[in-house]
Amino acid sequence: MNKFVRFIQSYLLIGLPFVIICMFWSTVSSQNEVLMTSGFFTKALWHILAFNLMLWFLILISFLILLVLIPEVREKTLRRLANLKERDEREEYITGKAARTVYISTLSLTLLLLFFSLFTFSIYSIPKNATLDGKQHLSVNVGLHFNLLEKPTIKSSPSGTVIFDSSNIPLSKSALIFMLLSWQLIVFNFTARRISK
Amino acid sequence: MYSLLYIKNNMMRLAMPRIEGKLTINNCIQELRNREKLTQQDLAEAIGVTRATIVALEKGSYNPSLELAFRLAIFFATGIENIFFTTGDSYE
Repeated sequence: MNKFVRFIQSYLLIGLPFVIICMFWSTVSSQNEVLMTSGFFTKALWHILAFNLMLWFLILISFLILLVLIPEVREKTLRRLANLKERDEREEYITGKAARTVYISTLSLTLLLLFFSLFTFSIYSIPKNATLDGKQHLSVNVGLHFNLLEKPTIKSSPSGTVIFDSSNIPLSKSALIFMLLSWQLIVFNFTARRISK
Repeated sequence: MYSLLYIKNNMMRLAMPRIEGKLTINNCIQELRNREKLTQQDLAEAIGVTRATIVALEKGSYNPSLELAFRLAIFFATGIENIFFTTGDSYE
């Protein structure tokens, strides 16, 4: 498993410049332009880069799923990204304190985002002729709405009917924030119990 | 019989020392290190911590774990109580 993860990491790192080149190339000239007017080597290079791009993204998705599912992979990869230094007990203590601050602040931020996604708050100005006393009034509306799933938007593509579109995640914003909040609380409590045993 | 036991327990409880408030733990690591003519890096490597930890210990900004305190005591061949001492502000 370690070798496989290391291979994936290396491929993602090595393949990144080629992915950037491919993306840049595709913004400068269109696929038809390249395939119609270019020579054999340019076409071959285009195909190789396009194949690499596709493979790179597939591997990236697999790697991100592995990050969520396997703690060891998460630990090794994100430790560098998060700049976690735990060379001795003092650094572990500092990490713990910093993580506590991050946890609490993220929790508060997530709660605020959940509040914004759940509640609707609007202020209306009621015209004079619509009020009983003939004066202009302000109306404050506070509402609550929670939808677990977004309404599916079926897109049509010039090349055919869309069967799957990753941009169309069925979960609503509120559901995603709620899921994140629950995940944080559950993982924290589960880990704390496991460590304390 | 029960009331006698109750009185005895209460008297024992009153006789026990009460430690309240924040205890300030000081240490003489710097003196011991200087006596041994060691650098902070030497000491850090000897007890398996980083130099930053030795700096923090000497400044008094970090209180070590019991394990690290024992490691220091073993290294300087002395007791923990000879390295760490409290200047408590509320002993009763």
